[in-house]
Amino acid sequence: MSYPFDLLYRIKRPAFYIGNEYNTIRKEKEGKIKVALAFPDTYDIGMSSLGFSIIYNVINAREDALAERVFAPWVDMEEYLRKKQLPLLTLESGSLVSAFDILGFSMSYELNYSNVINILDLSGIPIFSFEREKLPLVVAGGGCTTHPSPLLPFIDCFVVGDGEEVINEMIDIFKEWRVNSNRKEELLKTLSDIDGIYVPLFHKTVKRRIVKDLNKTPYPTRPLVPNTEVIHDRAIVEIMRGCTRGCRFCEAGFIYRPVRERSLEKVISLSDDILSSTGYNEIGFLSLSVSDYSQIEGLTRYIEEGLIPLYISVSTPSLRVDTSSIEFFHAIGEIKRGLTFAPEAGTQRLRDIINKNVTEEDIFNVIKITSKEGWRSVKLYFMIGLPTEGEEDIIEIPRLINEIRKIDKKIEINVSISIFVPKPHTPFQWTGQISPTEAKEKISILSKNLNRKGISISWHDPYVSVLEGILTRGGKELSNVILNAWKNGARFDAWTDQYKWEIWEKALKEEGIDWMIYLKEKNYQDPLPWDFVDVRVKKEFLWKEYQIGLSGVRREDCRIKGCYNCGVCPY
Amino acid sequence: MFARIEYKKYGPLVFISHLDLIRTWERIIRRSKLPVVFTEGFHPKPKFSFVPPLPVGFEGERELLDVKIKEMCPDIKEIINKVVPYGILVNNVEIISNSNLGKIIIGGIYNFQWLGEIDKKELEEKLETIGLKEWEYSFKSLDTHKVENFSSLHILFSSCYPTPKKIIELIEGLGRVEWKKLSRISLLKK
Repeated sequence: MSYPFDLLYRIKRPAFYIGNEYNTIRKEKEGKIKVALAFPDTYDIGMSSLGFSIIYNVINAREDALAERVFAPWVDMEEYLRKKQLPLLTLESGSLVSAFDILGFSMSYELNYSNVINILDLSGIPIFSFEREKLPLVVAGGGCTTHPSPLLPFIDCFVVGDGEEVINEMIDIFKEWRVNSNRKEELLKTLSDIDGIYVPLFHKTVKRRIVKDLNKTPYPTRPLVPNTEVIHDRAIVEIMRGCTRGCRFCEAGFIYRPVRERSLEKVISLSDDILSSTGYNEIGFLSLSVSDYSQIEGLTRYIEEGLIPLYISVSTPSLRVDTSSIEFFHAIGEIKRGLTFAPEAGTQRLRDIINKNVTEEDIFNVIKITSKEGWRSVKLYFMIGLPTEGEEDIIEIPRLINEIRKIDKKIEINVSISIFVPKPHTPFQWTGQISPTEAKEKISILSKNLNRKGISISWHDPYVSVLEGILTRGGKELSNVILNAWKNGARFDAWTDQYKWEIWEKALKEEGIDWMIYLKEKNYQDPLPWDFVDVRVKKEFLWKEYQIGLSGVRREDCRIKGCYNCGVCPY
Repeated sequence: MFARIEYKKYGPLVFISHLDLIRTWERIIRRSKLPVVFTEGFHPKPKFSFVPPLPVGFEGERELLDVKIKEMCPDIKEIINKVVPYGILVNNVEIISNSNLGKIIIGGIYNFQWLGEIDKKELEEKLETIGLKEWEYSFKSLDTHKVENFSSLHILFSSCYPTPKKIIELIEGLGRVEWKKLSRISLLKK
């Protein structure tokens, strides 16, 4: 089955629903374990997710299983589907999602929660776990599962941490269960023994799963090549997982520990294979901080000798820029395109508190070097609402921008201001979040002091950040709020043109919840909704790190300075 | 030296845009590892030229594409057809010395198929008001045992005529239709 031609002809991005990407593997369904993988956002975002691609390929590499994909239909598509009473279909074979054995959601952003409910509903699958006697088994994986409480009633089982091994163990167990039983409870009971799986029904705690050696971990060498433009429209090679810089606000810096590298040989062979199987003209080397990759010199040489001559361009998330990585950025041409810096805060005092070990001098040095080379633009990331932040910290942001401007008057400066959301499993998990009103005041102080000439500035909507804070920091009580908001039309809350705070405000009110409680500061003794998830970083360590941070003491990377006993090693 | 590729764009790929098509072809060419010439500059691309874009939703039965190649090579058609996605298929490859697609294509023959009753007279009147002459279109009612009111319209466009999108609007203005198939059957060469 597939969608009628006339329907696709009448919607905005029909290419989001056609599948048939190059490298698609078509499999006979007979006898196989059928997994539908759902990404609760649009096709172009989901197809840019490395985790989603890895799991898809791990499953399809098995003889006894298959994976098909489904994405959140955009609002125009949903309207047509509901009007014509058509179900959501998987891209590979145009099958009903409800006909699969397992439905796995990739959860990397809290503002996708309303889309999870929508996908279940459009597939004709009961929304609450307790309503589902039959298959599919509904599973969720991805970064959000380290604080999954608001989703607990909807999901049968969560995968916490790296999924490459868990998914295989899960399918093995499923296969055995299917032969002997049809009771879902028995399946869940057996699954709950897997390291890294959390089954709400059996209510235990869960320890995050960690793959030990990236060189022995499967990685897709024949990824799907989208037929239409997606966000990251390029080959992706993950060179490193985890980061130990220890920025105290950064969730990724704690929940993906420890640092594991792929060897240079492996990175090169993966790059060659992927480029030749896809025909991409660009490759991205993925890591949380590329300049920390120990083989960076070898990688630079490979780019210069192995990629540039083949007309392949290179990109990398470059949030951490220092003088030592200039050579690398030079090789990949990033300098010409424009560099990205994330000073995060305006004063050294505050940068020390959040442990962002970048000095003003570092920033100026890098800019001076690159200025000589005829660069075009610089992008600067800042956060407001950080712990202990005062007016002077805000005023220093425009001053810093103006200083950069003075170094080179021709540069184009793009500034992005986001509102700090205190994230679970970080030293700042106990701090408060500023309210939308406070955020607006801070933004107004900032813009009043900024000389806008030659500068473009953008900020996150304070009401988006507040919902992000609520859904990230809240507990199980929010499940009814999510359901209520979905019923009243909440969809694609991560999209500014779709997001409506009024829907959420009303839902919170109707469910009797004062949302301001989610913004409050917490004490060490206060229970946290994510306490049952052990990401292997000790709570005492996080608290100590929080206190040290407040006193303004910086901590160097543990890979350089030695162990601080966070609890992850040895893993 | 150029390879003139005549290909079909069909099935799911009727829904990709012209920019998507260019990206798709660049990837096909890279995967094929044929000795093509690349452009200079920061983002080098194969040197190729396309015919006027197909609107989204349209099949192209005999589309053309010129790619500059460094040297003579045999079996280009077979080599490319090994690395195309479902929805692109090469019909024929010709080696030519000059690429002149921009100059020689003066229009195309388009086909519109729909389900739904449209008055033939009214349609003809409308087509004439936008400047189409009688010999430039043919309308057929394709009622079969299975489907009633299945219609098809062939239109010959030269580049001075309105776009296929205009014809779509015009037909939709005359009644409720369900589109079944839209295509460019062939290109008109000078």
